[in-house]
Amino acid sequence: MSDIMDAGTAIAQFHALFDQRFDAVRTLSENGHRVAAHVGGDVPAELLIACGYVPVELCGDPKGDAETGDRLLGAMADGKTRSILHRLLEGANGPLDQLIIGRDSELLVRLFYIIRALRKIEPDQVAAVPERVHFFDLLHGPHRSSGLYNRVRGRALLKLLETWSGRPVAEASLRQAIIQCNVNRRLLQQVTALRRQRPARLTGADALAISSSARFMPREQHSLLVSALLDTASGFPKLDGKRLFMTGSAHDSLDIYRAIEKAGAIIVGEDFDWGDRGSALLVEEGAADPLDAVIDRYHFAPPASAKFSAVARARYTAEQARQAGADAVVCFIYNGDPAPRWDVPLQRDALGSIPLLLIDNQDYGGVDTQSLYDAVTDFIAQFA
Amino acid sequence: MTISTQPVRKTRQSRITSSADAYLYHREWFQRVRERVSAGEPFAIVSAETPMEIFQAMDIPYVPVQWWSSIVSAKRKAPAYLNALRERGFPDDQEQYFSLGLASSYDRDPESAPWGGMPMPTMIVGDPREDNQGKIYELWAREYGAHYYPFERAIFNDAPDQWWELGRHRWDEMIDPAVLDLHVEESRGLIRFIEQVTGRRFCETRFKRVLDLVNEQEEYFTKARDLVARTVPSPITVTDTFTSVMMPQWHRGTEWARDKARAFYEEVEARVRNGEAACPAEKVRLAWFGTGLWFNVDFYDSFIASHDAVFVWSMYLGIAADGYARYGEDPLRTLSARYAAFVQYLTMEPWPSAWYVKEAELHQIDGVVILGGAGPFTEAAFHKAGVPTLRIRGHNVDSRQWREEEIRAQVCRFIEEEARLHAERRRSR
Repeated sequence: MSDIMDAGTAIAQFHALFDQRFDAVRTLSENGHRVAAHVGGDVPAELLIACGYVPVELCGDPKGDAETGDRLLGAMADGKTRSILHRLLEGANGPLDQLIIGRDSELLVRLFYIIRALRKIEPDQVAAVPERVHFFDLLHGPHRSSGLYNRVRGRALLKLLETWSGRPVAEASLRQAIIQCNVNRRLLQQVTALRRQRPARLTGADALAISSSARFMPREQHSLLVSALLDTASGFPKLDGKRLFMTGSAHDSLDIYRAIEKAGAIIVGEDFDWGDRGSALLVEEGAADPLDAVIDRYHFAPPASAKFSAVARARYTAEQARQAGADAVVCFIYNGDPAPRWDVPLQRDALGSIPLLLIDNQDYGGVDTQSLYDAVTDFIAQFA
Repeated sequence: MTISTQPVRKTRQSRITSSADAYLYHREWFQRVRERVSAGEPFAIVSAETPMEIFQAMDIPYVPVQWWSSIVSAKRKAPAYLNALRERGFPDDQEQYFSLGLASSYDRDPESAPWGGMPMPTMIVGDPREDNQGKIYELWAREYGAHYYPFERAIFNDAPDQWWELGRHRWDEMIDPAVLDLHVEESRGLIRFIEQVTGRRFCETRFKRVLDLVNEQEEYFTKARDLVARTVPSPITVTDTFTSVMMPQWHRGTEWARDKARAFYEEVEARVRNGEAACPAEKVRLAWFGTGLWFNVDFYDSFIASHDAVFVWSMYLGIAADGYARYGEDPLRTLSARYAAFVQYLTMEPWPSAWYVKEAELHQIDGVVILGGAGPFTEAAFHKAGVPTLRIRGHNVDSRQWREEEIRAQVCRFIEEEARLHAERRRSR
């Protein structure tokens, strides 16, 4: 019984951390950390850590106001990106010294150039955005030329970070940062393994809270917490329910997972950054050039929806769903997220006998969780 | 105030003979390509930002995705084709300018497909920039059993104030060297890929000639643009430019295209010299912001009869004038300077707004009609320059979204209540 209590407490603390994500920059800064805020998972955390920063990935707030983001981005972006822009312009993330925007999708490209244009045309509107804004243009093209380009961009980013931080980065620091991130990923892979057990030992919402909280706290600290959590794993509950795999849009809140799992399902895996995909690939630790190794890890990451081949994406989704032992797949897509819808027919083909429920045209800030609950309930009843 | 919304009669056949000639040439060319492909020759479908000069230098026929979608739309095929796309589980409401091509590939009946149908492509080459475009090209290539070559394009942090002034000769000051390097490498890769897949050889001498011809062609377009811009009343309307400009643009790098550009310029110049105007009583000069309304091209000139309002500007002649001519020593790098930042010119603020306002002022525009989803900066930039705007809902190839009467009424009201006032102020200056 005490083990279960300990496990419950250990899991609960990640939910508490997740709930504090909007205060992460402020809290870390007040505690003496130097924070490098970024948008997008393609910004290499290793480089930021090597330069003495705590990377904090900014996210949207589906429950918050997004009026300015809506006005400036409108139909050019999804609700999450509009929310991120709104929060940036409102200074809602706390004091930022620098901001790096990745190119995970073209939605982030638009976020970047809106900020760039505002700086030029209406500087008052971007008073809360740091002067130091950098667009990190990492490509995922299949050709060597993309890889060479990414190396140029990686070196430029490191040089910029050195300038910003006021100190050169020793190779040893970069290697240490690589190890730090790899340790974290290995621990999160153990979390993934617990989800994949039969019966599953963690809910999808628990797992998402655990993995994503690494993105707004020091990695070493997160690793200690995950390690402690894993020590309590024998006390994790055994969870019955239809095993679902999530694909489609990425999630930066737990609400959708909670609504789906309330219908009697367990989300045993997903193929986006804040979940399993984020820990799926390690950086090669013994590489002759650690910077190249870091860039390769992000360049050769498993296929997301945006920026990757539909065929490769479908294959990846199906592989992951099978490895997770999923009974079915839910493809949940937000309005304004243009890539995932094109994957669906190929994902269905690749999944074969595993059924896929498509829930699209969802409003980032206004998902009808009752309708979602009903749809999932009906869906899982079909293969009871 | 009277709002005149009744349908108006067509006002013209064609003011520019080179327009009809270009259309006929392209139609015959397309049929020849169908025959060549049937006989086993290679053929490519390419996006508009693909360095087509490479194909031209290797004598490989190609058609641009956007041109094909415009034909599909003009033939009123878009609704049925997009429905077919939806039936296969793909979205029918995203990137229709591109997905219409994929959708058209489901119709293999030469009797019903536009222009007898697309020849079987050897390859599809496109920029996977938008999150769904690469997937559309990939799926399209799979449908034909063709290769897909994703031509990667990078973007960069800085944005110059007046890119159109740097582009011709000082592009190396404007474009990040890493972005140019990538484009050069991607171009080399494309050449090698084409050599391997088709067995065709790349001749550097021919390539240089192609580049020279493109520059000659674009200089004629620049002269024509400048003439149209400064001549009141305007000698032509945008409908005269669509075919006259875009057919040579799609064939750029050939003697035919260069000669057609020259013929177009000479016709415009003759009309100016002879005092021939599209609308002799021209009162209002309008600009069309966005891609062409390909299923309804008559829309533009319909406001001549009702309001003496002339659509003088669209991006096609403007970008031909400012976006293409590139001079330099290294041929492949010079070619890359044409395309490496092309998308940024037109979509990534603050690059586009400054150019659109420059063009509006140059053309003495009284009102801008904006189709679809321009960002807020564009409208703000026009307003700051004192040019009124009207945003209309619709899509340039998806006719299902078009509400003719409603939009016509909006444009009429806009002309009568805003653009006309601007025109009166312009004329009084």
